[in-house]
Amino acid sequence: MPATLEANQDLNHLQIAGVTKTYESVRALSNVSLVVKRGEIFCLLGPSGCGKSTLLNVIGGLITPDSGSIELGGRDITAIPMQKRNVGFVFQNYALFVHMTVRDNIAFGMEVRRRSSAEISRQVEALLNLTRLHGKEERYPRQLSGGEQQRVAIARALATEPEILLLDEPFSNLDAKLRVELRSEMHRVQRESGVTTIVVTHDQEEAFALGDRIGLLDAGSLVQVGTPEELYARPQTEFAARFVGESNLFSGQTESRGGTMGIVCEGHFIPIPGKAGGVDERETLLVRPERVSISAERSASDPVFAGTVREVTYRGVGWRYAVDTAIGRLLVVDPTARSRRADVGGAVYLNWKVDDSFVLPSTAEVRM
Amino acid sequence: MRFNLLRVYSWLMAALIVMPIAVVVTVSLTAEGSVRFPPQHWGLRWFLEAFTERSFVQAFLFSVEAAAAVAVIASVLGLTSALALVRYSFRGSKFIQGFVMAPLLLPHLVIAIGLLQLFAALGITTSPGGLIAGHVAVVFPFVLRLSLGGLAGIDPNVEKAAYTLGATRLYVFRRVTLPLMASPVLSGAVMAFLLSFDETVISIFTSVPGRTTLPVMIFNYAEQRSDPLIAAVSSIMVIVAIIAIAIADRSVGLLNLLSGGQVGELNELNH
Repeated sequence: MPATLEANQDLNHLQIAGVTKTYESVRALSNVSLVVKRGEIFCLLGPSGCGKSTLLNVIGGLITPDSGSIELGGRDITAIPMQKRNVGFVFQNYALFVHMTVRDNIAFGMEVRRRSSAEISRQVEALLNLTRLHGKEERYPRQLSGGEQQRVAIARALATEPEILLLDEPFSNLDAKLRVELRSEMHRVQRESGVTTIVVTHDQEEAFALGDRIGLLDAGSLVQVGTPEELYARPQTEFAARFVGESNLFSGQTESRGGTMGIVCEGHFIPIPGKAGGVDERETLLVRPERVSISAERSASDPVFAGTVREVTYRGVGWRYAVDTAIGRLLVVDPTARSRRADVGGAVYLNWKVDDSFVLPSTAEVRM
Repeated sequence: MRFNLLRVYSWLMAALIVMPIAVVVTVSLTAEGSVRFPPQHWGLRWFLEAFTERSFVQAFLFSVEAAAAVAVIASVLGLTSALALVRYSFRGSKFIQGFVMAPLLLPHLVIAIGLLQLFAALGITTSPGGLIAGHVAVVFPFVLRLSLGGLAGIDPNVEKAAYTLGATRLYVFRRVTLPLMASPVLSGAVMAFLLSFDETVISIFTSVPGRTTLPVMIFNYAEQRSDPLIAAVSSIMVIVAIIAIAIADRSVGLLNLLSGGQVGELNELNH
């Protein structure tokens, strides 16, 4: 992070420090610390049960943490009940007021705050515009499509001009095509309103499409925080490498052979990039499938591994191969090819540039 | 074949339920001075008689009054108890839930005798409050069941959403929980009204002189005389019940609710 950003306290809109929550001996959150910047979309990503929803509920005040503190806009809100936090919360099932019209749903928070009716109408108008719900204001939730219901939930949450917008798996109840549409719609709404936003999702693609930054959670711990590019190119742990995108991972002891550093995996030497570290340390190497090239002829440069194709899948955008080699099964994605390079059972050679591989930081060994 | 048998069976069962009522209504439409089925001559004579008989009119009015009071009290108790049992599960809440259902299982006679002794011990023997309290006790389980079902149908996230928007507990109850509970609570009120209007055993034991309910009046009258007046009064009771159910079904879908239909159809109510 550039020093200029760090200097400006206001840019750190939400600060979570050492938050822990335990349910009957199960650690839902384990010492989570996190900073969310003003105006960004921050995605909490992780498999189900990793604690991402619990963390969102803690931020919203719906769950009280056992320990730790939460600061929002420079104010410690750890002990403040959800009624007084001024957060906008969008529930997974939207939780709309089914007995109220779209207009009344959106106006609810402002009526609680006893705003004047002129101000309420003006704000409702603005939000109907923002979420493109014009003409639907007198409808009841059950008369709306899933996508429209979601937009009502977002408009209702934004109506009180919250400090922060929290969304819990907002796209999980929608079909695939609509999901992609609403994702960019939500992105537009967030950019126009400029509200700091946290989105919980289990879908890596969604996190990449929406998130300015992503926080990856596993078993109640924050594993890594970074931009989508950082998470994909430089995962800090094996879990991060496996959860974000597809991966080929090799573990072994480091060795130096002919001035090249590498690891020995299944008796085979695989060169690793970067400055020479110590010899005889256990390291894990990551090679993304699209960095591996597949061909029938042996290429000149190392590393090269011979293998047999076990699976070929047409992806629309190129092909995906599963290839058995001496160092294990490798995934290869070949997005630019016009035709398939090998059939199942075919003998192929796999090759990649050493600089396209990445050694996971050694902390990876801690969490296996 | 099997389908037809099932149909015949269904109609027979329905007839079994409706037949006694049909006989009473038919008998009440006689122009003669004694009970005979079917009547030789038809007429509304006994209905006019019933409306001019002061004691019956008074009993009818008292029954309506008492049933209305029972409906209101039981509904409020049912709703608040359901909220307490569901929203704040405390130690023994399961036990209490089972306990308040007890009047469903106990013979009303047992409850009535118990109440009589209790009121005697407390010295309340001249107030209609005892009768109302007795009725509330026996209709409460029905009302509570409906309220519990209605509350189970409300997504807890909806209330949480209201809280995150800044609403206080009272505000959420008034603007969110109560409107969503309108259907089961109103159904419960109608049920309570009908059960109370119909209740005989408890009323016999807890009626105070001069303030008797219609069923007790009919019971006493039938012991001494057997003219078609009883049939006419009984028919009026049936008509009141039918009207109440029709209104309730129109407005809140009572029949749907009682037959295990989806709760939460109250949205229809708002249109």
